[in-house]
Amino acid sequence: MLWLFALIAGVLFGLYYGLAALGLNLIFGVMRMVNLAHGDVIMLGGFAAVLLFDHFGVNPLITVLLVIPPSLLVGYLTYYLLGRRVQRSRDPEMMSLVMFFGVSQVIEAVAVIAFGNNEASITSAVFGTRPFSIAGQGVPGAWLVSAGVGLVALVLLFLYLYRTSLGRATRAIMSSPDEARAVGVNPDRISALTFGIGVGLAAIAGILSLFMIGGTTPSEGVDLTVTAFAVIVLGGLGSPMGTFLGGIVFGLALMFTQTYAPVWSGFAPFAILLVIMLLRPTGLLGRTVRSV
Amino acid sequence: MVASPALQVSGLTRSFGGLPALAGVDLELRPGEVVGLLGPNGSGKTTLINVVSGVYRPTSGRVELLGHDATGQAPERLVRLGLNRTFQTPRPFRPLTVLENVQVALRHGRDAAQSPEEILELCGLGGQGGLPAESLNSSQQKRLDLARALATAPEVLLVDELAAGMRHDELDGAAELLRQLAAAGRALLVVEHLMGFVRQVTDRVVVLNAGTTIFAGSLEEASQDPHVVEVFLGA
Amino acid sequence: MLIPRTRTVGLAALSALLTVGLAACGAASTTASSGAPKDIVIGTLYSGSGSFANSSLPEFQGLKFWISQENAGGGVYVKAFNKKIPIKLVALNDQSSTTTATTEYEQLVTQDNINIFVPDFGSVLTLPAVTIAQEHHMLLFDQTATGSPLFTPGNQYIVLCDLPLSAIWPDPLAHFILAQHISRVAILYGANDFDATQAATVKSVLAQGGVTPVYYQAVPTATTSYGTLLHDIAATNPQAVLELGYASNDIPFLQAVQQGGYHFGMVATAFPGQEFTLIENAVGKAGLSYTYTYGVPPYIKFNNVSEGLGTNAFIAKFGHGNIANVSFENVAGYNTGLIIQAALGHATKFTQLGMRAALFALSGHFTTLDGAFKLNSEGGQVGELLPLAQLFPTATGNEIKIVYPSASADHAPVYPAP
Ligand SMILES: Nc1ncnc2c1ncn2[C@@H]1O[C@H](COP(=O)(O)OP(=O)(O)O)[C@@H](O)[C@H]1O
Ligand SMILES: [Mg+2]
Repeated sequence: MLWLFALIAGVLFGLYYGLAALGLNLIFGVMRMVNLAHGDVIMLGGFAAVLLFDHFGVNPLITVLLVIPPSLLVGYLTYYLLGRRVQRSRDPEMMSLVMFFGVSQVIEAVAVIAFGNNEASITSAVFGTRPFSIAGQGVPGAWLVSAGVGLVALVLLFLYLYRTSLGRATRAIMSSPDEARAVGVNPDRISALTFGIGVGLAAIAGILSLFMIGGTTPSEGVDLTVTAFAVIVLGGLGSPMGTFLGGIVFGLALMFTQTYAPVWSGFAPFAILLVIMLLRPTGLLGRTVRSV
Repeated sequence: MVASPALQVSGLTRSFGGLPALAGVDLELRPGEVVGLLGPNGSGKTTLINVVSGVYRPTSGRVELLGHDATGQAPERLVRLGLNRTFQTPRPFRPLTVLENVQVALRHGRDAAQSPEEILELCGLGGQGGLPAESLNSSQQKRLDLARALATAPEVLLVDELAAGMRHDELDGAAELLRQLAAAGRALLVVEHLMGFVRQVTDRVVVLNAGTTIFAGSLEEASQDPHVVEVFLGA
Repeated sequence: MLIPRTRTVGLAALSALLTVGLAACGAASTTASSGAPKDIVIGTLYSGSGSFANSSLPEFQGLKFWISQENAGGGVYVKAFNKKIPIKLVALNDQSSTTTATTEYEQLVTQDNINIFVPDFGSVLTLPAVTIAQEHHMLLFDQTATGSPLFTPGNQYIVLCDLPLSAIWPDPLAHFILAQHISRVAILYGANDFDATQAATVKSVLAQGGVTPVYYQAVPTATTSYGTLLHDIAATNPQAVLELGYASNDIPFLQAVQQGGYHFGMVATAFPGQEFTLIENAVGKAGLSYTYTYGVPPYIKFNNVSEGLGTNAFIAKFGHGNIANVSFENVAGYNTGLIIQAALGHATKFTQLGMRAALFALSGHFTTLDGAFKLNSEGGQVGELLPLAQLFPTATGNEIKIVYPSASADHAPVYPAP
């Protein structure tokens, strides 16, 4: 039953891809900025887990919690030092591309100096080497852990967005930033917080990357940004739920081609992206992005 | 004792690409009074509201709000100082529910005494809190816009063409509501084209033309002022 | 500056004229038949960042080590002038980009007056240098680009220094499979010249022994998730699973084998031999135990050499006595230097083709710490063979031992894996 395994793997990887792209979409939704350094943050999350594991034996699931406070701090600082300036420039979307491209290059260069050029990882054995049985298919425990973390992050994010007043204000800004200011929402506060959350989600995805894509290396940032971008475009810019749907479509496309036509597996998810863009230019759950 | 002005605008100018949309406007609003802002299309009414509410910075001039210098402040700051406005084209937070729209404003503006449900009731949206804002018709969107502004407990409220797009049978209710708001001590600036509505609501009017004040006084006097008549009829 | 291909020939001719003119004025350090150059200029590229940096930098270190060794002794011996001449290095950073590399290769051969042309690591970054070298009649001292398409009968301007052609890498591996009477073989390989030639070789050697793979599929070189592929491979019930990729493929593949709890009689991947410390750190000790890989220097040792340091001496000097400080790429870069040294030391004429002739004369009679140097007629390396190695668990980690062919083995293979 190759198709059944591909289906399960596709959904589990989809949740991971969704998580890896979520922060990028959140930041885009609130600030209309494309954080080209997103993949580099994922990479840094991976290295954080490797270093803590190698030197202190910290379980990667603990690292998932540990990266949250520094991520929020870094996000806050980045927004106030760089993001805000970009947003107030004449052409924020273009400027954000230029600036975060630079940030991405700097992170990569510093990571090379700090960690060397090598691929690093944590042995998969930390999550056990006995697969779990789902619908009669042996599924690696690490996949379930990653997908589980992705789901938990999704649920928490939704509780935040739909059940807290900061979350509502965040959605208000995503919907119409000028009107949100007109009712007293301080866009800087929300943007800084969102940036922190986006960075945190990326760092968490980076920790899981060690088990989903084998490891991390300073140069992988660009590829990860491209994948994350494909996923959010697929699901719809500005739609967090769409991001997970996009991730799952991406994951299924990858796993089914790996099963039935492996040589096309690098290309198929992007071919699907093109087809969906032609049929539904706003992505699966996207709304028209207002350009004001 | 005559109350000191809640809002004092002096010599306000604003140009877009060298063309002045406002060219030295003076305006004063006192607590409890409703002032009508009239003028033909393109005369600068919305621009005045945008500049006063912080959407645009003034090119020159001064805005004083409840005794504070409010010139060129960010909108979210002005909201906290006690000023809010509605939009000529309302843009509710479309993916949020009606209730959430008001909740955002309640949480981030000043403390309003009322609950979000009460505010919705007041604005004629009672029982509609659970609907997504994008499902509202244009008249309801204007009400929601007003509700959102009220949720921030403004002392100065700038209302941009609330009646436009409302059905005839809704107008009396809307006029009543605005009067009620002023009776509670708020200062209101109301931009409107419907003369009946203006008569019902306002205490006095200011007429703009091409970014300058051409008249200030009662509506009666305005309708006899040759300059005002020429501007409205000769256009 | 990017010059469209069609115009390059004209510009090349122009720059050749300029070079002649300059040489006549005595201003250039390039070949002047009248006298020896002031120094021998080696031009090369390295990747200071990007995906090739982790292989390119250690290789570059090895080459620089050779240069410092020679210069400490007064320079490299050049037979054509019968004296030692100091070496000057011109090295540019291509940041792992083929576009940048192309521009910089052009710059090296047209503007920097180099005598010796050495490309960056690996097939991807070497490929643009092959045509440029051919156009400008510079002999390319190809270090580690081993894909067959790089070597063509018409091109005299390339020699492969540090590794055999990738087509012959898996020869011992495939013969080992036949010798163990393994009949169910799964082969998963990267869709690139380097891996595809290896896969084709295994397949054809196995076919000679009557074995047809039960699974034979290519995946994109950028593949990093192997769980589903492994599940499909396991469904074919193989005794041996061969994954032919780069280190960035081997790590996720080996991780996925562990994650899925798969147990195959034999698992072979290409890079643990070349990047042992790196891969063991990434996948853990258990992830590598009893797997197979290509055995490369410094794990295969050549102490009886005709040029340069032998393996142990190199470990002592370069790695401060610790083999863990020495990677295969270090050896490769150093060995490139030794091949240049041999070319200069034996060529009677100080010309590009003169050096080539010297290397062909040495072919088959010459050994370094990288093994026996032997060229085919196209300049491809057919010596320096890679025996099959297996990794055995020790108290602290794994140990690489050569297990096949028996003649060079230092340990008996353990098949099937326990
Ligand atoms: N953002 C803007 N950019 C350029 N011109 C503007 C802008 N906003 C308003 N204007 C111009 O200012 C003038 C006044 O417009 P407005 O204030 O909307 O008039 P009113 O509300 O009285 O109909 C018009 O000529 C309009 O084109
Ligand atoms: Mg207007």
